[in-house]
Amino acid sequence: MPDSTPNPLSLAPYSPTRRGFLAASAVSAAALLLPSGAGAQTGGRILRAIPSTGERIPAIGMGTWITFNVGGSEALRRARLEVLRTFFARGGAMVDSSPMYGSSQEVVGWCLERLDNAAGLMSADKVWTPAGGDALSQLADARQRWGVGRIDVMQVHNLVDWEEHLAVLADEKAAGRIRYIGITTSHGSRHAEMERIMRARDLDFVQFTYNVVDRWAEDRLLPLAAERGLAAIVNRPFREKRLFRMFGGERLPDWAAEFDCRNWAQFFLKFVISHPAVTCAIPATSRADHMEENMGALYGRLPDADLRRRMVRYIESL
Amino acid sequence: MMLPYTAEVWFAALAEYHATWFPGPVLMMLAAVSAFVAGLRGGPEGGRAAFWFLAALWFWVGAVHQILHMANLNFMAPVYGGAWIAGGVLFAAYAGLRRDTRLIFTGDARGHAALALVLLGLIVYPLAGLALGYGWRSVPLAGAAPDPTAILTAGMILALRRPPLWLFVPPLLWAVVAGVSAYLLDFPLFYAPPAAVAVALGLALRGRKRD
Repeated sequence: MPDSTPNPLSLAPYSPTRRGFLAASAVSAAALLLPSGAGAQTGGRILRAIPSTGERIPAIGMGTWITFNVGGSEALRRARLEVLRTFFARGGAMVDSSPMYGSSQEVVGWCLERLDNAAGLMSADKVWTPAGGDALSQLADARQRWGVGRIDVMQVHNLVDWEEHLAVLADEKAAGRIRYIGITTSHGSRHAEMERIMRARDLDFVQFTYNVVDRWAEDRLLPLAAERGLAAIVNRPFREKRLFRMFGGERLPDWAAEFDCRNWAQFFLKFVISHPAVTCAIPATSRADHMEENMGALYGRLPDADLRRRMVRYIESL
Repeated sequence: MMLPYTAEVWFAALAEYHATWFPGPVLMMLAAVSAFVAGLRGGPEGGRAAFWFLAALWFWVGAVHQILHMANLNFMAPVYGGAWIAGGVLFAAYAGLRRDTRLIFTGDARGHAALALVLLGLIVYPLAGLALGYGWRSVPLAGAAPDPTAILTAGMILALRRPPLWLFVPPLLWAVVAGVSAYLLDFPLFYAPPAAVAVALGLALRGRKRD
């Protein structure tokens, strides 16, 4: 069955199945429960529970695609060290990587070794078939490169050989060598297959693309994650910088202050994490000042359902 | 195609490559100059020697730069490395099997264009890398780095009087990779290989029509 890929800016409703409709309705109802004009969370960090355990994690994490793939350059590694230092100083926890990302795992490990504020780390990595070796050897490589005794979240990257890998990861979880398992996709691809796996398998996490422009996940994946009790990690919340190119030159609307938003990064991120089914967004950056901006989205109020609709309308009007 | 690094990282990796494999990259740059000098000497022997040198450059870039060095940064590097080595085999076969391998850099627009492309690969492209502020340790050298090597190769093939079109396949394939990289990284210098190969291929095709 082909993936459903409607116009990302279209507000036209999809035709859901009865079950999908009920799940979508439940998520929408949860969104509407947010108080109008003000977010539910104020004061401290915005935390979200992982449904399978109830463990609460910060709703803003970080990705490492491109940004942490700096090879052996000491100068570039030191710059990434400051990015991670800022991330943890501002209350971050989830760091996501993959063997597909070149030297990123190794560079994250190099940085962690030099940080004294990374105690809250929640490591998320992936099994990726083309990297070579089996899931067990990639898990061992990940532990060694990160310099950690245990990877917290291990996912099957882009659904490649997912049946085989998920079986191994489930065994590792049962043995206590992984805390959570999941599957990932990105760029809006293979949503239909992901949906089937989400329905059929016992997972803790799912990861896919969602942002204020690419909102396909709202139709099925996010409601299904809520229905199945799966934590949802959102990748490409900035569309890999493209949202800044598209809208960064425009004026941030005054009403963004209603949900404590001071810049476009926070606008994009607060849109993502204000969806009730989203557990954590993982924007990537190579700059500490940008990380500071990103982490600002972890605090203050979130947009309610009305404001979320207004955000979409505003983006569509630009 | 996805590129898992930035232009800044690419130049940093080049500096690391030069340091790790020194004096290899310098020797390969000298081999690139030697290929040109051998071609300038004229005659089929000079042409054959030039293509033996080119084969060596393509083997080096494939095996050392792509497979041994860049694979740590780019999951596609082993694939690119294989293609570069295959390109080396192609140029070695051409040098070993063809009789008429004279290179001509003078006389007409095509000869002058061939000379310009060779100088672009040997001198201008490396200096452009330097001018962009990445430092002399990161200078992309013809013979050691893929882009200037592909440009040099396109010029050398164009200097053949009747180049078989299949000889353009290796630099053409790299030109596609470089062009996509230029677009994804928003880095205009990387458009040089596709531009150079387009000029060389266009002039070669025009020459075939006239003949």
